[in-house]
Amino acid sequence: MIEYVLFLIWGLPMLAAGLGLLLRREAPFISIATIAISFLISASAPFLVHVPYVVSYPWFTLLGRTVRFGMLIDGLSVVMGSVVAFVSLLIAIYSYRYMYGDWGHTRYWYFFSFFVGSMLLLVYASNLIVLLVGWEGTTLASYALIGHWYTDEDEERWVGDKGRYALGVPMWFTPSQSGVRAMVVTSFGDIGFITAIGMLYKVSGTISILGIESRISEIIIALNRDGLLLPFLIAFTMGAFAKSAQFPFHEWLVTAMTGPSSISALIHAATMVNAGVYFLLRFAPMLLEGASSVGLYYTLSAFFTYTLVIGAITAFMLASMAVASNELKLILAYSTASQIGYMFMGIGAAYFLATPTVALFASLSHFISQALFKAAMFMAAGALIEEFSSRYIKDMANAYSRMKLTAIAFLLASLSLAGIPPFSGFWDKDLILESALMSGNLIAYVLGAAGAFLTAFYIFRAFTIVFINRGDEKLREKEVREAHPVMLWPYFTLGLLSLLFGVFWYYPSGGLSQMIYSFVYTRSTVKLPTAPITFSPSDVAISVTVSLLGLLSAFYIYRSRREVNLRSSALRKLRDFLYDRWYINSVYYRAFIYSLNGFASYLMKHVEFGSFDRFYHVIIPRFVLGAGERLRRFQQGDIGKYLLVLLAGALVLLVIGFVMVVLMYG
Amino acid sequence: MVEPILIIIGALVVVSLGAPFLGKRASAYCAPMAFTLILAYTLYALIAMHGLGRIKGIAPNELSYVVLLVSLLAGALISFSVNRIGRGSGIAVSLISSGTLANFVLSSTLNPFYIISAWGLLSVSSYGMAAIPKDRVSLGNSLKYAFMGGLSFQLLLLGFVLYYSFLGITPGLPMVIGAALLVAAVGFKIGIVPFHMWLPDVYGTSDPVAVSVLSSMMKLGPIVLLVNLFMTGAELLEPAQRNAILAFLMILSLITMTWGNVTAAVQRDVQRMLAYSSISHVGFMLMAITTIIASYIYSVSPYLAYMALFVYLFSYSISKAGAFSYMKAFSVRTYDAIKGAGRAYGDVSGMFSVSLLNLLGLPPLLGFWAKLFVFMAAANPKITPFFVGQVPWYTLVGIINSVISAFYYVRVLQSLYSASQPSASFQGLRTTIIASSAILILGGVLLPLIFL
Repeated sequence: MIEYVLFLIWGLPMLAAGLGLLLRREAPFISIATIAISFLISASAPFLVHVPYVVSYPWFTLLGRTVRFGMLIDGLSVVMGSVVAFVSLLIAIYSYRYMYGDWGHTRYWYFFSFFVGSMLLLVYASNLIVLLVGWEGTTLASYALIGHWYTDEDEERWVGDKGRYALGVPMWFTPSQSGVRAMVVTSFGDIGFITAIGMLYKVSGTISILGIESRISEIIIALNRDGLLLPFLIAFTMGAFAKSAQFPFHEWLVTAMTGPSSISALIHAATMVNAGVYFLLRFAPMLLEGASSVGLYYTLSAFFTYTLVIGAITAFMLASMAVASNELKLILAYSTASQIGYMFMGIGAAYFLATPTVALFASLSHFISQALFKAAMFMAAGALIEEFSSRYIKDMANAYSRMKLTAIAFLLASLSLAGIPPFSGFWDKDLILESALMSGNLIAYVLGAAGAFLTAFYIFRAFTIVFINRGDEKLREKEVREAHPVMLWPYFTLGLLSLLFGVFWYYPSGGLSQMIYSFVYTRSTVKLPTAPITFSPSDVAISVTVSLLGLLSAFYIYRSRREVNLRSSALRKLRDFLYDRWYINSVYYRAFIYSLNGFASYLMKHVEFGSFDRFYHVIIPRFVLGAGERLRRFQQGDIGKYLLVLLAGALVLLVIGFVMVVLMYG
Repeated sequence: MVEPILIIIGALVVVSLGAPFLGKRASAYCAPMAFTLILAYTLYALIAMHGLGRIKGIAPNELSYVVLLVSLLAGALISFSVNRIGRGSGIAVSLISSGTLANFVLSSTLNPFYIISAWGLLSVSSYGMAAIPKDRVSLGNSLKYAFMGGLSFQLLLLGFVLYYSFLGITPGLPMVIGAALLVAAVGFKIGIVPFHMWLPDVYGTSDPVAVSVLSSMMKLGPIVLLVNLFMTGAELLEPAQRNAILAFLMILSLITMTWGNVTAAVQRDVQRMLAYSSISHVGFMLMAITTIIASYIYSVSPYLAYMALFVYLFSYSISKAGAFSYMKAFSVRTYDAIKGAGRAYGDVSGMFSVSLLNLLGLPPLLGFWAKLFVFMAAANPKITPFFVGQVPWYTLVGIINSVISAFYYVRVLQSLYSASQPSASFQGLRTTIIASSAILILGGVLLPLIFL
């Protein structure tokens, strides 16, 4: 009986999506209510069933095997699902006011609920097919919501500066364009994911998560025998890397900021982009367990090093872009990808540690922290952008005096992001950096630490410019009021929570971290050793110093200045380089899109029009009409002629018969 | 216990004899009802008694069931619009009924005497149908038709003598000559090139309602007769004789479909275009028949080929019935004259478009499945003459022809939906056009559900 209740976790939001289409005006309330229930069920799941628990029933038959549709309820999915549902709930409340009276109201709420349902389905999936269904559902919803204002009329909804080119490639993006970009890039990653599911099925004959886990050593050995282990792992996680906007797939997340701010908070900060992290957290323990039993240390270490380095590169690269950026939401978007880079670092480093679960947990915890603070920041950004009617930070100033509560919420979230103790962002980032250092990969550590400095710098650059800096006369006179309470309280709550979560996070004797940690890694089917979480004072000192340095320098520079005038042309070039996102977008367009377009137009011109079209629409009609005109002359109504043709035809048949028979019998 | 077959034949005879006495009004109500009742009874008998039973010499098989059902359905549909013919509507109903009877008998017997008498009945019904409007053109056409028909009747007789006399007795030529003459005779009846010369004149210029009867019903019996004759004789045939027959049919089917298509493409009159397209469709049906015989020779399951023929007969007859009835609404039937009809008469023209698209073979209409089955059956790699290497040339020629046909069907649509104000009267025609197209849509949707 209780199983059916569990299905409501993702079933209710899905139902709300459908109901919302019927009861258009009540859609937000249905959504909020169902997500609230989802959150309650999700959070109370450990009390309802004995975790870990699987509930499933036969779904369809694939190649002679039954695929089951079901939910896997273990420590990881409960924590992840509850955070997702909770943040979604607050964002839904925020959206009620934020999207009030929007022309795409019904569509918005449909995809909002559908997204939450898909995301929870993804988190609680018991096998890869179910996971893929949720996975693609979130992609679809993300596409629709990024392009929510698909008419592209309002330039305030765009990303990038209109008229700006980098290497000859336009650097401004409309909502409709961004939606497609997001869809294409994430789906490109899914090619690898789906291919890998096929490989996995071929090798092990199972796609269920528990099935994979029980045969993990068998799978590793079989793949390794053909030298396919590393390619398989890279393909298998390609979807995760693309979804979580890791380099080289990060471009889609940046332009996804064309969607409503609530969506940026929900999909592009707190939930969907973390699906890749969840995916790795789900499968990394199996690999670790399998590796120890099989003894293939080096092959697997290549994969984990790859994860660690990609994470570090993303963390550093995107943070550096955020330093030069001028758009508030864009800064947050870079920051999101960069923070997820840290999570990937933690997962990559786990392999090299004595107790890998600590590093894995650091990533999970960083997901929770970032869900809290980044959602708060995006929602606050939405309010700020509405009030100042501009998406550029250069058009905002002195917001503290007029939006005090928003400023406090944003400050709390910023401190957490910057990694200042005792905020939650500090604990997990430090733990990740420590793990990276202990893994022995110095490059990753240095990139991560530099990223931490940049993180503190860019977020306090934005904070100082927007809230503290007095700005010029015109900006001061702009009429700006505190956000509506329905919008304010969700992000204020989240800002407060990122402080509280941090305060209770760590005590040498236990704390919140130890609770969640032991819940996740004892209530799982993979049994990995756990150890108490400890911090080394020297590493903590380095992180805190680096963060404070970034914070204070940003504050000092931007307290009274709107922007820094760069005198040297090299530095100006560097700023352009960072502003144009390391020219990666331009390189992609030049390398893939323009060349494909060129190829396509070539095909269109020479093959399509030149051959096929010409053949079908010129040559055939000419031939048919010509032949028809000739044959038509027979038909003149002269019965004698008709008779002649009839007899001639019969004669021809006789001749054919004669020839056939003669040929046969000589 | 009376055999259902007797009841059906009796009912058809009663309708044939009674209809001429009914007035114009009464025939408009009674005729569709009568045909529908007989149709319903036939279906009931088929389902409840698993067949229609048999009487001496007349043994219906699946093919003749299809012929009977399609004839009755087409008859019921067309009899809704016979009033438009004018004073002879009662006679028209009578001729439809006797044509149905002739078709049924022709398709369910191998007894030459039955065949010859049914052939005569069918011919008389056809000539009568063509002559009903009693104007100069119709009478001229009917005369032409009758004259050519008489000639083909002689070929049939001669063919029978040779085919039956030498079947299984003497190897070699005489039987093949008989087969060739039979093909020529049947070919005349159904419009196989080069025995088709009468057809464009009759179909293209006679009264469209009469033509809708001729084109949709009056071919079914002879087509099935062709299959029956060769399939029944098949085990008695020498390999050379079989191959000769296969060669006849293959060549004729290709010439027929191509000739019909190519000439249809250059017509300026929609009714004449439909007449030529009938020829081309006979080519496709002949392709199905060829495939049936080839399946037998190369020991392949002929199931799909039979299915193809069934569905093709059905789809072709029903859509021709609707399409020709539509033409009746216009006094001038050129492409220019029907311009704008799609806008002025939205409902019927839409359904007419469905008929055309069905003839073209567009999914999800029934015509699509018909063509698909024909092509699939013919593309069986075990039937070696249909292949050059790996290339199913026979199917390919069919597909290319089907593509060419898009040219003239779509041209009609283009005319229909361009801006103009045509004058037309759909009084009394609506039911036939709409019901026939509705059946095509329904059939197209249901068929895959039933058979796939």
